[in-house]
Amino acid sequence: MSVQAPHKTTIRSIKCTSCGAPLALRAGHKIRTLTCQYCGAVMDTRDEFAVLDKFINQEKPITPLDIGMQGEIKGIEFTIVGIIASTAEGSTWVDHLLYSPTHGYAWLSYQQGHLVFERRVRDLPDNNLNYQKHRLGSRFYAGGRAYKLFDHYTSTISYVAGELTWIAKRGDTSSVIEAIKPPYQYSQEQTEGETEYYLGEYQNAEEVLNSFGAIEHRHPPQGIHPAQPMKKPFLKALHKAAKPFAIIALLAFLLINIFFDGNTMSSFYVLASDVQTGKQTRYPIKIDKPKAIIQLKIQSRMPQPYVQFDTILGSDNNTYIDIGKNLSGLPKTMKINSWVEANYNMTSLFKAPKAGTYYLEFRPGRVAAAPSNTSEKTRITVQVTQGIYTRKYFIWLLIFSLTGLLLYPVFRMLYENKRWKGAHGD
Amino acid sequence: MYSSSINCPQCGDAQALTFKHTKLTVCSSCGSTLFIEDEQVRLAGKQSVLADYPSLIQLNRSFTCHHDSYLPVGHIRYTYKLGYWDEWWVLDNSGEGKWLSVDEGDFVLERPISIQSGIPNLALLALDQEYTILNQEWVVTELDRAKCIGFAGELPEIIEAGETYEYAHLSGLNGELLTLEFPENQAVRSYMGQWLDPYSIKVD
Repeated sequence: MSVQAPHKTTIRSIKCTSCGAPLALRAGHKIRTLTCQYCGAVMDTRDEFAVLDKFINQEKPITPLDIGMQGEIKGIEFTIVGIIASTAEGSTWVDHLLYSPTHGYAWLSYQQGHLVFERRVRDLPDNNLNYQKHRLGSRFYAGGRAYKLFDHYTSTISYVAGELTWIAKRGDTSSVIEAIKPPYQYSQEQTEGETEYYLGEYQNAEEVLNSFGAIEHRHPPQGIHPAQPMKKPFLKALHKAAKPFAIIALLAFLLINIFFDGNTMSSFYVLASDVQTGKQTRYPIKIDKPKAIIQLKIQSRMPQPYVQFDTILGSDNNTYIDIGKNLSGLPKTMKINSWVEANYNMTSLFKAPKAGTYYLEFRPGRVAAAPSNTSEKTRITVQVTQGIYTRKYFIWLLIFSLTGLLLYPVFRMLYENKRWKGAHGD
Repeated sequence: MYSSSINCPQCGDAQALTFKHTKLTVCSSCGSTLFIEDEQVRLAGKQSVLADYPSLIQLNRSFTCHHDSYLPVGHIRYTYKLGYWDEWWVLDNSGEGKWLSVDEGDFVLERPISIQSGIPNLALLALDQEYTILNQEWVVTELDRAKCIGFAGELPEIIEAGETYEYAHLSGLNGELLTLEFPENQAVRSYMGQWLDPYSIKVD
């Protein structure tokens, strides 16, 4: 017995039974109608191409794609076999019916430069979608994904051309509920007596149009499509990379604060008037761990303009500690140009070359104004802490890593706000 | 997986069998159709080669879908009112056989089931009618006549090219499918299963 090969893979040509224009049949046997692009006649493919309806004066919608174009999506080769334009609430979009001999039918939806690949799925939502019951943003599951309800509208067909798997008429309406999980979208389409579910995936328009040979007709995408994912690869990578550093910096900062806060070796106060009058200018400080970092903290609430001090830290044999580069703003002689006007606090970190007693010496500087009685009693408090672990590097690391960590979510939040501005919820 | 072999009575070539209950196989060397009954091999004429159409599923080429692996070992092509569809006899990991129907991107995986009662009479079946079968609600979504136009590989039942039967597809509320086949002068055959997403199928 010989097996007759069904005619499926070749393009068949027919003449429009209404106007005689040559038309091609590119899809398979599930095609129900063929609509002439020239005269708008809708022909029944299962009844000798009898004319079922006629779309008069159809205006071709703006789309870079056309019937007969071939290209790849998700590694599958498709041919565009039909086009439908629909409108809803002032918006117009164009759905292109795709056909693949191995994967059947799918849709490529074009709107304002955005492209979404859609196909019918049998994954039902885990609850009945009803926009009157469910609020905008409410969540449901379908096909293992959690979607958020985004929009609902009634779409009306405004243009039909080529092959379609059902009898479409201009003015036909369907009630659509749309939900998103970018780059995916899930929609429920209800027509009279039938409910279908579609899974959409946002596409890189440039890649798809390039594949279909329509890149020169591309329009730049406008606004944010509901299913469009945010494309900030650098910020995303930074967010990912910054996470461990932020954790390390935060832990280090907490550990230092809890366990390595150092030992207070000296804590005393000096009367500003004693320094100013020269009554006492040297104060001993004992250091017993020469390799440990020492923090010298000097605070005062002197009213200004008052007086300017120079402070010096010297050893018992009058040699000064060379504190090297660690003490910013101070010369190597440990002359501490403590505070300028309005600078009430000074913190210095240094290491002593050897254990012993050192002296903190205040040298009165320029008198900016005559000291008053009140200011004579002003205290300069001094605190010397030994075994300090410097926090500033961890603080900077924390600042940088938190910035890296938070930039992506902040941008994302702004992006999502923009996306959801277009959503309709009742 | 089961493994056995027979010799083709026409050309003598050894034919590997991968399914314990294979009833029919087509000799890969000479194309002869071989009926297997009680370990006896009977020649049943020559089988022509099935036309090669683009297909995701290929004979003896395993594929995975949702972490389950399948090996297609048999293939039947049927025509119906609209065109044609392919039935693939596939063996899963455990060696159990199932039918995978493929019709222009619609993939349905069904297993043979036994229904003792509640099968509606063919003459009374109508589209959109509701039935309760196996304590479940079903709606008739398709009624048609299938005609076998060719087969290849190993099959669990004897079939002849040109054989026809009436069938009904019924849909459950949650996407389940029930197929009832009404071959002439034979008992009704029933199958139950689910839709498969072709985009989830990965051919090895």
